[in-house]
Amino acid sequence: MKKICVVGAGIIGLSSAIRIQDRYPKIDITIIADKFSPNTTSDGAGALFEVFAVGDTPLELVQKWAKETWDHLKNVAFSVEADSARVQHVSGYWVTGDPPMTSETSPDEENTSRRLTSEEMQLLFPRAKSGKFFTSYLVDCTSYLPWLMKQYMNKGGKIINKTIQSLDELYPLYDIIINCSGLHSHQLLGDKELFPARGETIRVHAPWIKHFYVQDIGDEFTYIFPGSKNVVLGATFQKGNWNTKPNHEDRAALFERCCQIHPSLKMATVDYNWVGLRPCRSRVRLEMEPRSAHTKCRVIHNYGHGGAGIALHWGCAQTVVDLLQDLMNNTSINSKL
Amino acid sequence: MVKIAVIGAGVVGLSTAINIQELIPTATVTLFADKFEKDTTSWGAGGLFRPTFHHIKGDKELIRRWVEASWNFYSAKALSSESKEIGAFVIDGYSFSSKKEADPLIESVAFHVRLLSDKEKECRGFRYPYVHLISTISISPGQLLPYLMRRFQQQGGTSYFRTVASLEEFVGKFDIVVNCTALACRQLIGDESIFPVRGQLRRVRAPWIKHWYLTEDDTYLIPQANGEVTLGGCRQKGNYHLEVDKQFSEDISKRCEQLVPGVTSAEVIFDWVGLRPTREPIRVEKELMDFNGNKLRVVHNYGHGANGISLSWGTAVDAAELVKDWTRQMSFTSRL
Repeated sequence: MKKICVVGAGIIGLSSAIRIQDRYPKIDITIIADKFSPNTTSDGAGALFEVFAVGDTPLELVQKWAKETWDHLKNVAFSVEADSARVQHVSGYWVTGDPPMTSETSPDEENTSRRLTSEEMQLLFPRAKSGKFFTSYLVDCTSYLPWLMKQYMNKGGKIINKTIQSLDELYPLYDIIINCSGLHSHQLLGDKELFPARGETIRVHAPWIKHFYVQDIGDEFTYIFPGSKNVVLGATFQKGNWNTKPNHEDRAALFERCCQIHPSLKMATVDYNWVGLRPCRSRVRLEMEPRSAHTKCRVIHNYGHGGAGIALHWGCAQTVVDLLQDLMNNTSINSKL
Repeated sequence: MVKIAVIGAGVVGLSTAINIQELIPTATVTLFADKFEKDTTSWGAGGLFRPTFHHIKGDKELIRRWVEASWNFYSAKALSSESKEIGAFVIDGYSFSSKKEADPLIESVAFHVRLLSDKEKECRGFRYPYVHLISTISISPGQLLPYLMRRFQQQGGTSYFRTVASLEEFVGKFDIVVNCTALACRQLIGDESIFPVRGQLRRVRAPWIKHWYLTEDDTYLIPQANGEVTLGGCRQKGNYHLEVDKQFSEDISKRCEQLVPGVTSAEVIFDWVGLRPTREPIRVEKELMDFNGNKLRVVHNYGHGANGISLSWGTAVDAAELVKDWTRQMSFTSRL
């Protein structure tokens, strides 16, 4: 009986582990991680469903993973689990400094988008040129991860809180490793294609805000997400910045931009600040490591999701299961997508 | 110095008192009521700004004017830095209907109204012929009432606890009396045309819900400014019972569960009953009352039924104008 080890307990690790259990209910599976919710990178994410910073991951793959994740989030949001999982269905505004988009409706017919009226543009986004209004999903990982974890443990999944220096440490206890270590693969594997994109957010208490607001103008990306526990204000995107300490100037600047959109935020009390390092890469790495002398266990990599961890996690987890299936059936020892 | 008494401290009384202060800065405005804040009918209101001609009887132009004035006032607040203090905010939600067209009243003021496609309805599990997604505002009485009282007091108003048995009590003491006593008008001035429409609701802790929902069978979910959600409801004409019907509370939860699965597991904060003070039409008018030869200048502003929040400001503006009319007449007669 194969023993599986999932490295990493962020959204990627947890979703991979759960989907493996769904496919193989009796499997011996352990998550090993040095950080669990609420201390993972995922916990700091907004997170509004949005795919970005995935480098040159092939578009068809991104679309496939995004669609599968979207459908999953939709099912959770409109189910009795919405409260426990804190996957919220939210409506809101997305504006840019660019001229109006040609299409009035999004490709997703289940949440048609519309153009913002000139009154809305004037009142809310005087600096923007065009905008749309649509409905999407907001995931609060500080609840979503524990929700996933509960299911995982109820199905017999094990966890170990531990820092590992190399995947080799996991041999011979485990046969197959699912590497979901995010940015840590930079040290763990020496993957130099990984780089952080530093994000700073402020969480405020502002329950009267019921929409999301996203403003993308020039270099500035500003967002306000109406979370269920607090409202998330963002964003920064600093490539190559490894600093996990909050930066006063970044925070002040993003707070100012958010207040321009929603003046009432000036009266909001601060819950906490957060810095997260998005695990960016030249492209998402989701593949089986070819059998070689380098690694003693078989390894399936699932990391480097940049700013799209939440938007792609469920679809990526399915691909992990597909690769695992190949491995278990011995149909392929070297499978790269 | 004109002395004006306003009776009633619900959303209509407070809004009217404030409008009088601002229209006639030299006047002294004193508020009398035996119910304040948490004891008022306004307190439990969902606060959603979604008036319809279907539910508001009377002159359409007048109603439209009141709605517009209220909308202009509250929507500006909702987009300002005062949003938190007042409890006014922008919110989208779903209006379930057997009619394809949205009610023209809400259509005339809302930021946007759109019919959902079949796919959209299916995705959300909605089984109604027509569902409109409406971008409107909501004003939560939990914040609004304290705000109105503060504003009234900061502008020099004083309020007293008083159960008024007859308006005659004010003869010779106040120049003008503004009657915002709603349902109490039955006893107070003998207006038998005002009647209660009983509503029961349940307040729950469901901060993940960010849309409102309102059906034709009076099932609704209305998020509040503080993240709580009001679940309802009913419209029981002529029912004066103020006690919570426990069985009915469960029924409310069940109906809301159909619209938003999982809401029944939300923590219940309280169950509440309010009697919507309904009059067809809403009464905003002057009256010179006579008590055995003693005259009393009165302005009435009551009967807002289910639309207290949405119509209060607009009617308060008109009522204040009527008070001003009285003061003009007073200064004219005093010059004779």
